[in-house]
Amino acid sequence: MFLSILSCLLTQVLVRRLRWNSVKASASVTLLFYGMFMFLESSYYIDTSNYLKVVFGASFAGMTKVEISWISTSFIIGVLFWLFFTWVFPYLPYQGGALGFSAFLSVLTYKKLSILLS
Amino acid sequence: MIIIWRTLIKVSKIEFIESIYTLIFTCLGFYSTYFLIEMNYNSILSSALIGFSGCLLCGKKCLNYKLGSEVIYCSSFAAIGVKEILNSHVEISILLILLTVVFITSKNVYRGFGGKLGTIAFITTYIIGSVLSFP
Repeated sequence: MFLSILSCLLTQVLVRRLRWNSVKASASVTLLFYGMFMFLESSYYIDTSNYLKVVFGASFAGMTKVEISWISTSFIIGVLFWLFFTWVFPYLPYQGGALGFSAFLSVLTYKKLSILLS
Repeated sequence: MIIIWRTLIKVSKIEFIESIYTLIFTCLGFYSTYFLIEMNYNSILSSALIGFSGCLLCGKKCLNYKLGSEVIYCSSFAAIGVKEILNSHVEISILLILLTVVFITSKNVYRGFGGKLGTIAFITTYIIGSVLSFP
C-alpha cells in the first residue's frame, strides 16, 4: 500500500510541480522504481515483480487531473488502487490493460464517492 | 478502402489525418514494445521505456501531434500479455485497428481520468481475446 501511495503521489508531483506531461511522469516513475528494484533484487535477492506492477499501476492512477487538495486525493486514490490491485487484478487477464483498468476503477470510485459525500 | 472509410464515417479532413496519425502511432508503440518483450526484456520496463521515448519523440516539432505520446503509451499496454493470445500478424493488425477506433471514439470521454489508456487497452485485448478463443 505504501508503494501504491508513493507512486501515485510522485506522479502527481511531477505533473503539478515540474509541469511534466502525465505520460512522461508515469513512465519516469516506473523507470525510477525499476532501477531501485533491480538494485534490491541483485543485492538482497528479493522478488520485486509484484511491487513493480503496483508502482506501474499506481502511476496510472496518479495521472488523474486533480484541481484541489491533490495530496489527499492522491493518497485516497493510492489506497483505493491498492485495494483493487489486491482484490480485482488477480482475476483479470492481460496484465498491461488490467493494471490500467484497476487504476481507472480506483479513480472512478474516488470520483463517485466524493460526489456522494459532498 | 480509404474512400469507403471516409464516406462511411463522414469525418472531416483534419479528423481523417488525425486518425491516420493515431493508427501509425498505435503500430509504432505496439510493435516496439512487442519486440522489446520478444527480446526478453521485462514487459513493464518495455512499456515504460516506450512511453518515455514516445513523449520525447512527440515533443519535437516535426511530429507535433497532440495525442501522440498517449497513443504510444496506450498501445504499449496492449502489447503486454498478448503474446499468448495473438499468433499471427493478421490478428495483431485487427487488434491495432480496433485499438485505434476505440481510442478515437473515446477521445472526449473521461478526460483527465487516470487509467483511461489502460482501460482502452484492456477492453480491446479482451474483445479480441474473447473472439479468438470462441470455439
